[in-house]
Amino acid sequence: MSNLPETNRSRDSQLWKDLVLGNEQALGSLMRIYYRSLLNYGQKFNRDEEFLKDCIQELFIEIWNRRQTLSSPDNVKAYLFSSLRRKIYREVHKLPLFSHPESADAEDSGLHVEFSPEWWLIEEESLAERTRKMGHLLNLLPKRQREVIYLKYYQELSRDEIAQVMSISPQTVSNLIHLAFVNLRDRIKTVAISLFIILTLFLV
Amino acid sequence: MTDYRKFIVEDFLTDPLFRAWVLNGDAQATDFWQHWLAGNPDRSAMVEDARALLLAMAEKRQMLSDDELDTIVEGTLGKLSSNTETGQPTVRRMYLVWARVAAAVLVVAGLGWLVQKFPLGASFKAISTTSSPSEIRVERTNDTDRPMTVLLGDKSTVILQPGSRLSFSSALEKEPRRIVYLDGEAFFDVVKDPAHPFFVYSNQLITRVLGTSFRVVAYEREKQASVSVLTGKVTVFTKKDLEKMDRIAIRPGAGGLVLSPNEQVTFSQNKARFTKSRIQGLANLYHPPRFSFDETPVADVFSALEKAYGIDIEYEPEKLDGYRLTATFSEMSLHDELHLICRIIKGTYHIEEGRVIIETDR
Repeated sequence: MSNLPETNRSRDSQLWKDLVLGNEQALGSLMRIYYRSLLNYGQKFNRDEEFLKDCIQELFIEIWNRRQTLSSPDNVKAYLFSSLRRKIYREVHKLPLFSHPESADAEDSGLHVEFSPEWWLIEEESLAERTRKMGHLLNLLPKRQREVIYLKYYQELSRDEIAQVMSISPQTVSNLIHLAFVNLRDRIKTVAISLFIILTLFLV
Repeated sequence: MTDYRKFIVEDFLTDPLFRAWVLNGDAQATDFWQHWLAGNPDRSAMVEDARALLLAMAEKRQMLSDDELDTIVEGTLGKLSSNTETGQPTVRRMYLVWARVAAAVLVVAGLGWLVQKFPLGASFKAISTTSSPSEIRVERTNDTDRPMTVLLGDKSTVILQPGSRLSFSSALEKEPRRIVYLDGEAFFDVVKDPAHPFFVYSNQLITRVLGTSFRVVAYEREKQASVSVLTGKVTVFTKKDLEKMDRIAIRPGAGGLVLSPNEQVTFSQNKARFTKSRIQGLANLYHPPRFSFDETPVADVFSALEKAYGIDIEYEPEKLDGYRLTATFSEMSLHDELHLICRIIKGTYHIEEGRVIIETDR
């Protein structure tokens, strides 16, 4: 099993050292490892796939161009996630028309994680419906709880990594995860009772 | 051996064997879990919850293929070698930023001109025809006596009240700013997309949103207009504000009033000012209709939706022969309902000039 977090971390640090020395293939390897996760993460904030792909490409090109001056991150994965997060935020808020601090954007002064599962692509009817519902429940959570849950359970980031990505303390991360599950559990219970859609198909 | 009977939802989410099954459809893992569930039926609800949670977070089921990823990586590395130390991307970046600022200034300048040319109470028609000539505009007028649903290409929904009129670009979803023009009263449920803010232009007021649901009442013939918010936040400007903003360029902090859920702002032309108040019951006013079908032919289901929402649905009736639906729809949006039906008839749908077009390939 090469998928253990520690092995990954030392592999990443090695790749980083290589790219600082000017090895383009090391940058390519990091891209191959993290591109899909980064794209999925970005999609939680912004649905425009082309925009996200540009952001990710620029992120890697900037790392390359600034490789001599950047200090090596202790955790490459967390560094990439937090850089992409900042980048999307900056790009989105560059839209200058009417933007001012107390406008509707102020509440977005982190970013909004929004789940929109493609539940209709899931073949199993009951699972599709449950997934749609879960997406809805996740979106009802306060935005920081949403992001913490996503980073921990989908992206498998550790508590310290999440703290770094979201610029909050590790203790806050634990609190948010705890709260999110308290919230979710309450809501799952009520959903189970009031599952309101029963769908059957008759092909005559 | 892990004792999965002791697991709660969170534990499943982080279990490698569980993830291999749910996220990658790994054959061995699938086999294991099918057996395990057969032997532990009392745990199935919890396992299904955990499964749905992971899937809800995954969303994109068809991810980039390895080939696509290779192309992207090669493309990026290609850009590196042609660069010097400071690099081309920075330069391109600047250019992009400038292009965006220029576009924004143009829009605001354009509006300023409009305000001068058509002062407060300007004709709705005059404003709505000023967009670029190549653009095809769609206009919907509700001359029935019941609310009418208008679907926009970005999957936002508008409930247009009798005697009201809405106009928008037929390629709204592709534009940097989603702009619609309203004369009358409408309830908007806007799909969130921070990169493409949504604007409602109406008599005296301009409402800007990122993604939320709210109501605008602004008849051209009346001297009062209001905006009420159900969810999310919106910013309301008067046309005068825009005129000022034009003069002082785009200064942050200029004009605009932010509304939160259950707040309403009324603007009266005589006093030329905003009055903010609290409202309740907006949700009840715009409750989605409820449907119950029992072995109903799908064509009849479409008729029911057409009638309830006041929309047109186009499809080929012969392709729907034999499909029947038994279902209860409640608290569901029209888009969710269409998705479900399309899934059953193995088709897809899209919005064209406010009409729903159903495509099946049977």
